[in-house]
Amino acid sequence: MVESESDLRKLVKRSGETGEFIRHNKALCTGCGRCVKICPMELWELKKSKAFISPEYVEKCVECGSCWLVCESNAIEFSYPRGGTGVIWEYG
Amino acid sequence: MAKYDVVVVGGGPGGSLAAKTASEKGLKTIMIERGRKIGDKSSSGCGLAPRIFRDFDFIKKMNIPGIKIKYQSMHMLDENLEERFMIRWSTSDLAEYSEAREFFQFDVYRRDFDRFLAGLASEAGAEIRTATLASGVLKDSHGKVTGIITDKGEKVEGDVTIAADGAVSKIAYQAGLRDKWRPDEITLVVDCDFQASRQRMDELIGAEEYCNQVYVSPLYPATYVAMMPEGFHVGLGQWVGRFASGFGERPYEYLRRVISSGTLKRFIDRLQAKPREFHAHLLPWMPRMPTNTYGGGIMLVGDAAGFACPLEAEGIHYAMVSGKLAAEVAAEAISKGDTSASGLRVYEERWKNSIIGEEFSAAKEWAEFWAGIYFDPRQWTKITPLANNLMFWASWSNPHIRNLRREISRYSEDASFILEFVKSYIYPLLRKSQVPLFRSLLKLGWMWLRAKKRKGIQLEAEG
Repeated sequence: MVESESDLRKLVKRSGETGEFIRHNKALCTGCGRCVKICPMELWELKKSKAFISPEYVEKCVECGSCWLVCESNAIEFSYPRGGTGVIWEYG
Repeated sequence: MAKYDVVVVGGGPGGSLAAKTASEKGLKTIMIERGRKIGDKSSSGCGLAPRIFRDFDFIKKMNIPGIKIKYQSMHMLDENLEERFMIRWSTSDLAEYSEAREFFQFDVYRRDFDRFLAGLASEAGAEIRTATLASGVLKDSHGKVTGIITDKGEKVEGDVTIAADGAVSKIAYQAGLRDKWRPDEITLVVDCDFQASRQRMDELIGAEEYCNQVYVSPLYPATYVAMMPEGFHVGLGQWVGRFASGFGERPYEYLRRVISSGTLKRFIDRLQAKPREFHAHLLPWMPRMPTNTYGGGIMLVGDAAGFACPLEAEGIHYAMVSGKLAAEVAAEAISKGDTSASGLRVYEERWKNSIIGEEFSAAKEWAEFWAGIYFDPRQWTKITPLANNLMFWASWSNPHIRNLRREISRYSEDASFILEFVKSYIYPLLRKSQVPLFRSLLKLGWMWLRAKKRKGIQLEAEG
């Protein structure tokens, strides 16, 4: 297989344990799916017209903040992971 | 509790320029960076504009790997992602200063550049604290920002806080300067760093011919290829409102298409390039003049303020300019003893009177131009064939005069599309640049009447 056809999103380095840094309030979620459509890592999905984030996000999220930004019902809270943890970009 | 004159949040170019300038003015300054090291969190912002070399003398001290980009090109692809039209151009003699005549961009890795700038801030006397997240702002009873609180619960007080914490800027949000960006004010960019041998790049591209490329196609929004010291970046973006509303495909699907087939894939393969690092980040792309860039005890710089060029979202130069301006205003406000909102208001006046304000005076026109053309894949089902046909007259398919007739008749069929296009996207820019259209047309008409028809064809030197 041509290398460029494998999932590029595995090519992210990380350091430390981030802990939880995205919180989703299901009571406020309207199931509009905007977070699902924008997440570059495709970590959100809709189940029974509510959004869910994969618990794996702590190891996969690239901290872009898109889900928080596009959420119109303020159901998504995003803060950066604690200092010194999370994504490391060496060739940005 | 630690007390400073200036607290800078974020260790990118805006933060480092603010910290460097504030320290040089004798202010006790701290710069707080959430990354383990400076540059850890900086992605796909690599092109240094020639005006950085013009405006900042200290850049002469910079000694990091970089690549001078002397050419730019634009490639129009069809629905099979095959190239149907391409233009390539070099730097222009119209540029007013030597660096801009020499190169379009100097492409570097952000890791190297951000560390170079932070080093200057440190040399100037700024304290730099890495691996520390500014998780909230401190406010007094009047709502004036008096510093930040870290993720370890430490309070860091400062007379002035300069938020250089990037597009997401939780500090701006917590200070009450801004609610979330509107969906037409910010883009999401996905990007992949590819590694290729410099020797191979030199051989195949030409060491003196490095070219940053833009690809357009009916299958994805405009995609850039930026040549880098050890390979290149391939990336694309779109306004978050478009992504979130399902205007097209999801971000990663677009990037997958970009590298999957056609001309661009062959470029990657020819250089035997290997994907090395994936990036995704938000990038402000404002169709209007930024607002609310200061408040009591706080100023926003760089992406946090929305200062990225509304044509192609270059933000490093504006981050550096605004970081320096904010620190200068902080120094004046502190010496006058007024760091309230009215004491810092001059910051907004300064950046509006600077190169930043001039850029944003045409923000709407540039952003609409980009949104309507480059970021709308549908346009290219129409534009690419029009461009492709430009040279049809030269084809050997039939007598050239017959080909020319066919070409002109094809353009007249598409005249309404072409006119609408010019009226929607080109004319607003001409009007904004204050070209006196009517007078120019009159002058052209006069020159047409005066122009002499050349007699005959001269085949031999006159003697």
